[in-house]
Amino acid sequence: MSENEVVGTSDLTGNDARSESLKKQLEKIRRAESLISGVLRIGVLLSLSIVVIGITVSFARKPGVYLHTNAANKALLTSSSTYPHSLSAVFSGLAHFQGDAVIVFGLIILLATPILRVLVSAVIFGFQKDRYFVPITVFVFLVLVTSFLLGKAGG
Amino acid sequence: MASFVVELFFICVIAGLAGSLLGIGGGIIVVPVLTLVFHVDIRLAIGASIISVIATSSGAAAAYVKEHLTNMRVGMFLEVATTTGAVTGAYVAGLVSRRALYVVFGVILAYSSVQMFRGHFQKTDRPVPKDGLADRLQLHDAYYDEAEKREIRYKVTHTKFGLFLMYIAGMVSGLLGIGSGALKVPAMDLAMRLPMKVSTATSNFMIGVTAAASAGVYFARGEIDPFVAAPVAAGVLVGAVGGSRLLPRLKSAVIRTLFIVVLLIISAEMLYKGVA
Repeated sequence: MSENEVVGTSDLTGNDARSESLKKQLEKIRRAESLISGVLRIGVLLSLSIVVIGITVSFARKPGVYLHTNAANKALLTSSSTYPHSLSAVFSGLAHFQGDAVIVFGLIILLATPILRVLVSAVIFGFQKDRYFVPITVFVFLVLVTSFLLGKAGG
Repeated sequence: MASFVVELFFICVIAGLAGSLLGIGGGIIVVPVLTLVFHVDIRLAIGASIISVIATSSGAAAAYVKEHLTNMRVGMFLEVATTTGAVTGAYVAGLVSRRALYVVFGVILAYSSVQMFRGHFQKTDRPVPKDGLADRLQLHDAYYDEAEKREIRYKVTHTKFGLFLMYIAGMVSGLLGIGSGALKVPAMDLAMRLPMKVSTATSNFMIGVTAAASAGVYFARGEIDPFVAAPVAAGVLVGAVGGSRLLPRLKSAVIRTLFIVVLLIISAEMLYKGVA
């Protein structure tokens, strides 16, 4: 796309020769939106179902997990060593179909969804040859990866 | 104590509903509920609230993006600033006084709420200053407003200033770990002149990304307890999906009023933390 083909919304209402190229632009934006919406929907449905399965499995195997008294629950709500918090622990727990590992797996899918969304948008903009939004989304993705590795960024 | 999972689930449905309508993470509901009502350790409560932010964002964004309530291009462009801001914030966290920050941002949020209140009485057809950057990036858009039964076309302005404000918003969330949506919505509403619903839906779209970047750390530190986070994730997702069905039908003025109320509460909370 060359510089003079770039159109502003003043043309949204316009009916000159450029409106055809604008219509194409809008179509591209709408297509990108529906693809990204799909990624988010799949991520959400997948993680929600896995988390619910995990709760059910935990409950079926050890009803006490969500049933014990306040005092016993206190240990559950303050400890941090009993449940898996590394990827390898999650996968070995999954192999044994442990409820907590299934829940954590569902949560990991939830956490990965927004990051995947950025990656997928970068690919879509790449296909659409969008010369502004390819660098923008790639940059955001790199910052995310960096902050993930540095382990420092806040919410 | 089966009630723990059930009660927490339903409270989180409300948090997800409020968060998805107002473009905020729901941490202001989730953290106090977990610590004060359920006596969950504060670290695990914060871990759960990170989950809540991501669930609110992704749960509602699928619908908002599809209905063009989210201005995806604005959101993605501004994410450049929010993510770098968050990284910067985390790095300078040791250098600044948290108390002073709470006071500063308490005041800024109070000021924003007054300005947004004035927005109730401003004409919606005020001319939007021309912005070359917004033209080039094709940020202007339109959405169909179900409450008003008409298509609303809008132009985006002050893109550079918006980017700067988002950098600040990102930095605050990196520094304090909270309040990212509360700063993003006024920046888009007041400076960039996005319609109210587009501002909250676009903020909702953005908050998940910065939270996801930091979630890995909380996970590795063992601060995401599956038994606490599972009912939170499930409840918030259900609430956020519900909220995304509701927002198109609500009038902008209603959303603005709700947002101002929540903004005042967060502002008071920050000022209290700063001086108490």
